[in-house]
Amino acid sequence: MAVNNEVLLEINHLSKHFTVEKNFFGKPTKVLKAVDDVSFKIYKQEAFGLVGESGCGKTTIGKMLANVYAPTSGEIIYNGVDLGKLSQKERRAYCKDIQLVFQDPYASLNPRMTIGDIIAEPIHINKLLPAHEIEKRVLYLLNCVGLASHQRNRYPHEFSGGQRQRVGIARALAVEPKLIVCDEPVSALDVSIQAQVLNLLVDLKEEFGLTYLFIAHGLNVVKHISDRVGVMYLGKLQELAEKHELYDHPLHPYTKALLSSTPVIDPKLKRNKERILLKGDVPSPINPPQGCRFSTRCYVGKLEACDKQCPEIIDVTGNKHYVACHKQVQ
Amino acid sequence: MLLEVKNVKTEFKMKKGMVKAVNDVSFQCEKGEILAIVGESGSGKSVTSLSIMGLLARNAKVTEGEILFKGENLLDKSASEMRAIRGNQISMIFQEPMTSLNPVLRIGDQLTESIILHMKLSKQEAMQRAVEMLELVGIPSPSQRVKDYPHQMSGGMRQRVMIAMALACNPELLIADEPTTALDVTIQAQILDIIYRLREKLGMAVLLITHDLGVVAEAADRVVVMYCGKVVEEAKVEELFEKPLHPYTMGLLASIPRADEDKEKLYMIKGMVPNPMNMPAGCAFSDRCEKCMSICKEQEPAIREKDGRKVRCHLYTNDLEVIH
Repeated sequence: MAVNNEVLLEINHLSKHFTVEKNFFGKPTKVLKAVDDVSFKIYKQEAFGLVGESGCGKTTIGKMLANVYAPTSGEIIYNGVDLGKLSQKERRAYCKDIQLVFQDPYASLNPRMTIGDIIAEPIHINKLLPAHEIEKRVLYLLNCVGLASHQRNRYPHEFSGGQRQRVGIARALAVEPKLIVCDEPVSALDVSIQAQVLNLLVDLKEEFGLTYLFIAHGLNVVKHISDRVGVMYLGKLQELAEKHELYDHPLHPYTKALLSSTPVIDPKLKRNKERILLKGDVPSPINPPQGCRFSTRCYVGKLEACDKQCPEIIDVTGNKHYVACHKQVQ
Repeated sequence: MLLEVKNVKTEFKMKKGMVKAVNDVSFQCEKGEILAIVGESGSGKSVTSLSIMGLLARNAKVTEGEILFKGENLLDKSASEMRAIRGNQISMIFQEPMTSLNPVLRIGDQLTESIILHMKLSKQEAMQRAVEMLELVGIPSPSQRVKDYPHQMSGGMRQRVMIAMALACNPELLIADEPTTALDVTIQAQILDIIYRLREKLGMAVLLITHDLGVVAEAADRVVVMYCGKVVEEAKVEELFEKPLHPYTMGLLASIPRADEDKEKLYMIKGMVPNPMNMPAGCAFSDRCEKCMSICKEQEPAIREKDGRKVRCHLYTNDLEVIH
């Protein structure tokens, strides 16, 4: 998997805050910081993995890239253009380039449309092809994702979860995107079907020269498909590195705990594995801990700064291994 | 033997006819053992557990076989006899911690309900027991938490409440149906740790129903693999992961991405699980099997067994030797 040095997408200090409660005058009193000051780059034709537990903000980032949410602050720079500075009309031209594949293949397809129509819709909307050529393109896309042409006029309920996910992928491919945001694309699928869809994603990436932002909570799945991986916790990016570097030499205590919590598919290893069990739950993002977000569950001896100041994410090894932890700086 | 499931068949009455969700399933579970039942959706693993609990839907029925719990057939029990066993000697944790608790009752009231019923304690004593149980499963400040409603708790906490509820009457058998599927990995590790510790402490047996082979490798002693309502393989956990015999088990193990390996491509089991209304003749896995022989399409393989290791496949002799 060749990683290009050309940057396709760059996000700078991106934040998304949701107002949960307003007072009488419409001033927000409770704010949920779903994504808080996150920056990273995605290179051309790479697969960038984003892991974290529920509520860490990984899906919100994907939705901001796909123009579902407008960022509260920060920049999304795509191919050198700051998407936030564009008007909605100008922005739409770029929507085509960034497409989403959703988690739940049962909820993300319109049950009243045939799968052929579902795939044709984005081509119509973006006026990409003259009407008489659309059908040919739909059949081609169906074949690309491993479905048969004669299934074109069937409805989503006639398909299994894995097949529906293929339809979702074909729909994303229909507008010839550059970047596909895959939001937990296999977590709703059975094990034997997961492998089929993951392999399909790898094939399509090669074939169409795609770039992926791969969002998932399963560390094994993310490692399989990604080139670089970022770890998020409570709206903040905690660690980012090339995947082997991250999995073999994790630096952040949270990454270490995540890796050690992930089941190992080898019953012999489990007994001599030292396990880090985190205490308690993820704190509420409405009222996150002061200082380091992970400080309430951190099991490594605390520094004074941990409770007071949120650590910056910096390259500590000089090896493009970024980590946000006060203890790594010393 | 604590639990013996013998040749159980569970059928669902559908508009189009009878569907065999569980078809001739047998296994045993000893005291203090963690037995995992693995399979994909539609393999009949959950229906098996509901058959044991006597909680099947109205259109479903166990049509054949026996379920022996401490030597007594649970299928012969009346509804009120089953109520005395359920929640007391056998209890169950369900998959969805979000929907399995009653949203309009306080946690404490839900916990004490079964304690008062089965242990015949007074309300105060039952509440004390409930607080103890919450403490056992690691809920901070349990005496305040019993006054909470389910919506005030996170998913991991609700699942812990479910476990506390299931364990309140010291059951001898705990049936855990996908206990960690809806949870994050760090919480999953906590829950598995609790189940593991309580097994040691209380000596209960656990029937762990899951599709996650990682969880199986971490927690189970023995494994039963199910496919399309049948047991296709049974083995000790180390044996199963080291040398799976059934092509389906081999395929499953090869198709999961692993952190300790680097592969460009994952192994794929082709096709998908057949429709239960329209099963292939012979072996149910034959359509997807790479090692399918002509006999597989004609004749349903019988179970081959040696030293407690079982496999249902035509590839092996009765002594589990490979036929060439």
